[in-house]
Amino acid sequence: MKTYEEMARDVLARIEEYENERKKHKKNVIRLTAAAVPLCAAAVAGVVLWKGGTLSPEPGQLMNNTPDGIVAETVTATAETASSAVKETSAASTPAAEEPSVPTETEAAEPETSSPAEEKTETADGATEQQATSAAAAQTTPQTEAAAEPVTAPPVQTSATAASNTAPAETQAAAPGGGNDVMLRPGDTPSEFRTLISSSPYGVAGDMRAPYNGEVCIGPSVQYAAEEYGDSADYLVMIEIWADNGNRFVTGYSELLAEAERLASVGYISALNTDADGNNWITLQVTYDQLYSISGRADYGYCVFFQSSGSACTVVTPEVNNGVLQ
Amino acid sequence: MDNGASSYRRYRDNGDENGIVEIIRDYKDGLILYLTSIVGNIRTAEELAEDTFVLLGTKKPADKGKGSFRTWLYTIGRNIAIDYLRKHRKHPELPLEEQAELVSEEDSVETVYLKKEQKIILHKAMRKLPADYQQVLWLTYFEELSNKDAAQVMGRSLRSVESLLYRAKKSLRSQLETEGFEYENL
Repeated sequence: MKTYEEMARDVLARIEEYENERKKHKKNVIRLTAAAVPLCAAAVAGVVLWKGGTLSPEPGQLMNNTPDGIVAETVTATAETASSAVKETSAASTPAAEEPSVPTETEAAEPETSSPAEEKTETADGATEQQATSAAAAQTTPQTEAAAEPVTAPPVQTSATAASNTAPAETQAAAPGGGNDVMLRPGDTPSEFRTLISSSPYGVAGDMRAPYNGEVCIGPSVQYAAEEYGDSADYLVMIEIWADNGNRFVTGYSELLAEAERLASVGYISALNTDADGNNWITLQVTYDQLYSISGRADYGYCVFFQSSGSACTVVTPEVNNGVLQ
Repeated sequence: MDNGASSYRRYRDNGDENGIVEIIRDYKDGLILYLTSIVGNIRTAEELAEDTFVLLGTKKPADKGKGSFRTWLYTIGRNIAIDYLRKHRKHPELPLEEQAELVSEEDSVETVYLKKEQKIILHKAMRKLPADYQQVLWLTYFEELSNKDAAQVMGRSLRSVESLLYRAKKSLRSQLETEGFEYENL
């Protein structure tokens, strides 16, 4: 039997052991809590942000997640330039010889379907493109032009105009990751992206007569593109305006601005462009139907081209058959 | 003797370890003998008594002050003993040598604690009675608790304890007469 001193000693030792265990346990709990609290806080913050829609993927981003499609694309349209730049990067693109007169398009929301008969080329401004290697394309004489010209004239209308120099001959997935679409919130309807044709590899070497008043002449390259894409795409074209039955080429800023505004007022997406040399011209983004029903003024004649077209067509005045206008 | 409450308060409120030492000094033997009446083994009772004091020192339960400190302490000890019995239903048979050793240890404790020859004779006779009789006789006769306090310690009603005490005394008398003593003289 233990004496009371022995028992007291044992009891106090056990009490101390218990207290030490309790302190150790408390430390562990505090350590675990300190580690878990930031994680929980981060998780809660993540959930809150997710529920608030901040982290929700935009519908366009979801559409763009195609395995072989475009990685990134930027669409910009500013009030100062009235032009948009479309930059595309394709994971599968292979740089090849420059081919400036290739159709350009911005995309419908569909995954890209590559064909072995197509090759991808890259233009001077870095845009990736695909060129159909058809016989007709092989016969076309490409015409190299400046890829992007500075424009300073105020736009008549700047809504979602996407301009680029080249385009593949097929549809690619559009990514509304830039421009105003980043402001989309859940429930908003994203912008509709249309294929935009702004050039064509097809064309005819020859001269075009200057149009008479009230006449609209559509360049062969534009016609080829329109026949190929029909109503499935929009077309970015430039318009040359002639007056006095083809005897006066309209280049004045104010006169062209007035005409651009008039076209905008009747439903066209139009812009007045000015290059560094002071040359002015009107660009239109039109649908297939609009292209073939341009409502011109009765005292003007119109020639419709692609701005960066590979078309070899030139326009000659009635009086000077060898006068070439660039 | 029952100043355990103040000792316990000193320990619980001020962390004075002397408080728990005083409690052990004053209540150890009585608690062991009481627990022996429950578990039937003085060594086990000693371990359980130690567990009781450790519980006081670690959990620091609040004394509700309904009865005396001893009553409260014995109640805690009894609960611990009952837990022990629940966990150790089967009591292994002890070898004869060990049994004799245990009896010897118990004798020494009762000699130290009870001091008077009469009480020692009574306690020896009582150890041969059933556990319930031992408990109630221990609490009322040796610890001099009232029937009410004994009922509180044993977790029984007052009426039940009174009935149990009546039968325990009758049984003890019979046991003493068997051993050649006269109950009335003790």
